[in-house]
Amino acid sequence: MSHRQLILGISGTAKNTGKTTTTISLLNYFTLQRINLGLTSIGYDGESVDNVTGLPKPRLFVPRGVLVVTAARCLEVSSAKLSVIETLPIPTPLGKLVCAKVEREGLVVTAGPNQTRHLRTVREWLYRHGAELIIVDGALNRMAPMVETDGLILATGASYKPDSQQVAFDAQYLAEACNYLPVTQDLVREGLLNAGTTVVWGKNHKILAATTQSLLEPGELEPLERVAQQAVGLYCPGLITPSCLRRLMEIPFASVMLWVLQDPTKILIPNEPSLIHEFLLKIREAGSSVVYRNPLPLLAITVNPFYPQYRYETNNYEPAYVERSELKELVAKAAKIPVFDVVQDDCLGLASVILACGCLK
Amino acid sequence: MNKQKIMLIPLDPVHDVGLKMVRRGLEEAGHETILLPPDLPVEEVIQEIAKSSVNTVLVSRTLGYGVAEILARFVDLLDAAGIRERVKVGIGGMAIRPELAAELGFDAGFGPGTTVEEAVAFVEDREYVEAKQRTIKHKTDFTIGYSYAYRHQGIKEKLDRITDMILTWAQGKTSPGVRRAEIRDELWDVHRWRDYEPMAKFEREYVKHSDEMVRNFYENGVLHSKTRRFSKEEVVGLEDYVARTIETMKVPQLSARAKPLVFNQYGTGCPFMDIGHIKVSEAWGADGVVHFDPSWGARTEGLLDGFLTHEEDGTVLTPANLNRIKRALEESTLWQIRAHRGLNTPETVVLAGKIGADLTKINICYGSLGAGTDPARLTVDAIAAIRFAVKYGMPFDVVTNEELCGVPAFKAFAGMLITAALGVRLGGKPILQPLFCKSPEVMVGGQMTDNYVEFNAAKIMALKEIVEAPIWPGAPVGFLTQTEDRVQSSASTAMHAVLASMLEVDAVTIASADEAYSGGPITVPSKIDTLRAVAEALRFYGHTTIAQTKQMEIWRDEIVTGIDKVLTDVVAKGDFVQALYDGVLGSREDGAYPGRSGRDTVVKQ
Amino acid sequence: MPRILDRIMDGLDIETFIVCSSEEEGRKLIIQLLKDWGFNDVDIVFSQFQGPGSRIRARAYVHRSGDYYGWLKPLDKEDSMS
Repeated sequence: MSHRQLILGISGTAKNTGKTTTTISLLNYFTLQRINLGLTSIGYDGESVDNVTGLPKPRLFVPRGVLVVTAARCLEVSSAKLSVIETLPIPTPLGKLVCAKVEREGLVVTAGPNQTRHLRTVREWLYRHGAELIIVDGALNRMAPMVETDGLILATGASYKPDSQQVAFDAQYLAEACNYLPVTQDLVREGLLNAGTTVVWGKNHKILAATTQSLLEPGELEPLERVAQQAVGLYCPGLITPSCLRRLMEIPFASVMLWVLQDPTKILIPNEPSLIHEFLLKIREAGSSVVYRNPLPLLAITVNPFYPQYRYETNNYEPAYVERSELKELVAKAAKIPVFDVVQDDCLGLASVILACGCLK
Repeated sequence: MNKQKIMLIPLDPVHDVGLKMVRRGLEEAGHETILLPPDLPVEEVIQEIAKSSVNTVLVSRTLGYGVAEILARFVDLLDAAGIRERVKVGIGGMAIRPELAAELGFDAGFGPGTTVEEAVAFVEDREYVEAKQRTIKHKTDFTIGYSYAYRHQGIKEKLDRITDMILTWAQGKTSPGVRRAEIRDELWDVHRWRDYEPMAKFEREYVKHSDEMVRNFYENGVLHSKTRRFSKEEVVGLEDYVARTIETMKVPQLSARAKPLVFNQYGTGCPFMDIGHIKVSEAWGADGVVHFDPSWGARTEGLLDGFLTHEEDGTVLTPANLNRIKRALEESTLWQIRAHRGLNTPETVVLAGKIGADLTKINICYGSLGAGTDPARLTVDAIAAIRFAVKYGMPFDVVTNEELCGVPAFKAFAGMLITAALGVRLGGKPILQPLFCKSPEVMVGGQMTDNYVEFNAAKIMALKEIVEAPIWPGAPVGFLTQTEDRVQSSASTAMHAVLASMLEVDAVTIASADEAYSGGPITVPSKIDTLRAVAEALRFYGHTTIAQTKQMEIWRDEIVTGIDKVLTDVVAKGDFVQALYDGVLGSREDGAYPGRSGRDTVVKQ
Repeated sequence: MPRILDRIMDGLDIETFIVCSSEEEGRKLIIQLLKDWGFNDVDIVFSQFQGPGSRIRARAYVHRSGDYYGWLKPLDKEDSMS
């Protein structure tokens, strides 16, 4: 089975960027291709009205045969007929997670695992029960649990920032940050990456200094600074906050460095895309390189011109749109990975990107 | 429970009172809390959590533009930093619902109305309990603990003699109403009826003692001109509506006080609309509901059956209507079916008992002096009704609505005490139901020129001085004080309810804000108006007591003396029924007229 | 009847202040308003005129007892989710 297993995260830069629309079109396409699908969400999806803005949202219409993992209380509000296979001991605000199969197509509300470790459990369950492609619908701008996926599709658009050029820049920076290579196996074999803390090593892979797991405050970098001149590599298994990222850029590492980060989310979540770009640019300019212990490639980007416009007079939101083709062109030009219009483009392009991952037929 | 360490995080610019209350609750439960200063940047909060050894984090934040993303990022940071695995994370604030908590990645969401206990349960890892189960309201029999011991020996002795007099008079007498009740008791099986089994023997016997209209119904299927049957579609719709409503129902306490229980009346004419109204009453805290039937029901020999609606005030008493209503009630709701005033009094008690009502209503004097039923007939019927109430374990109230006709309180009370004494003798649990009202007596006599408090208080004080019995002012409180203005009407109802509470009575029945409006049916928002007003007034006064004034004592003594005098007159008359005809318990001059309905129907057994 | 009105349990009250010169004028105006809105079963629950005008509450019955109630029509899934 393993040659036919892929888990895909649909992440967004913000709410209303088109995650659910993308999910729906992928579900439909791969069902027609007779690929066994698993579906879950790291948030709450499928409600007819947005929880925050009160505007109508596309709802998840799920074809027959799809395996779904969602919270117990979502079953009763789903119109699809679902047969429950198993209840997992994973609590959520909407009840325990249940694993079910869609017996009759219909609308499904998904509220799945919202922690990384729980997504791992759910992924293994879905694979065990025959899923070949698992789609994990995102929630708002959340990303952390997506480290358990094999790759991301990023939904962005006017809802994230109304200035399409800014959307394009950030898409570029995110694509750049996600698509570094995995670490080579020799480093793993050396045991350098087993400490569970941030370390720097020198020649012959000798560990020179260690500090905390996550780099939250600049003070935590002091032990590393003292050995900066001898360092050739750094591994950080945790988060790096903006203040630490800025400080790292100032540390005078002597030679060409290998930066091993745990996964892209560890810098993406705490930092603005522009700061990440600055950091990575500086590394490249020094001739150094970045690799990830757990890569999380960004496979494609979908763009959505829709945004909810807040009206102060009436204290509510109304639908609004930016110029559709301009948004797509700007993002495609900047990001250098495949970009699709979430509404206008059919699913073929996006599906072929996914199929090209090689895991599926 | 192991001691937990909890970090409380106000992400709002100011401290949230809710969070402080939760903190107090957690500390009282023995947990350790750390309260962060408000409005720290999210990164700094993460650092604080990382440095600490807390196992639960509670965040408060009001939702607004862009806040969802901030909260989602907070959870993401916890997860990416590896902290999420060791801490539970809850969020509270305005507009927070479980769906939103799930979307943002929290373990639980606490919206407005969350109790401190709920947050503590979350911290202690007890099952996440939904709001529905938050307050568990229990049904209470508020007659428990009352001895019915008399404090006034003179009155006790006279009531004993009158009770003997009534029972002797009634010996060997019966009526069509009593016969129907017996037939209903013996031949009508509620379980078989619920299974749609035919009950031919019951019907055959029953129609012999019924009016033509009822005979026509059973023999030819002809309905009363004002009623109609429900369609199948309507019934399916109702069942769906009730099921959906019960599922999402919260049954709140109206006030923190155990007493008085608050009753709402219903009787829109349609059992479906009644159910709509009842569910709203329950949802807004009513402890009990009282069924009102149309006035023609009291003047007709016999009850119809079937699921019927009609379009006037009062809902037809039929087994099918009552059964529907019963099935829609919350477990905790007390249900009273009034039997008291007409030709179906004993049978209504039997039916109420079989269908599962908690309380009924029986009286002799009001029914015969103010509601049109023949005194002899109602006396015979009331005795049978009381016996059936005992058999079916239902306490019953004894009303004094003849006051509204103009009968002074002391006379009405004498009549009430006679029925109550009869009830106790027969093993029943009567509840005294004095009116809180601006009666003709006080309009003429001026007892309410300055305030409504003292005369109403004097009434309760008088009753308490005579006997130790449950008291349930009604029905509803504030009769003739309400106007069509809903604010005035709700305020007046609320203040009467507070007075009742200060006088430590057991229950009150309250009207809707539409009480004085006569142009159309009562609407459900008007019920909410008075329930809200009463809840607020009871909350405001809590257990505050009322000062006893000189004037209250004067009126109390006048009422007690008056009652004693009326009872002396009844004893002197030597015949209770004759005393009713002769106006001893309310005369034509007062405004009371002995009824004619059911006249000459009392027969020898 | 529009579907939202179906959801009104019994009556719809409108309570407001009408600037007018007499009790009668206030009553006439509010009834006219409800009729203009398409309600026929209308009445005035309460009206109190003072110098500046009338504080007034009018009612349109959407469902009288004995009617077929819109809120008893079984909801389809679409409704129950919103």
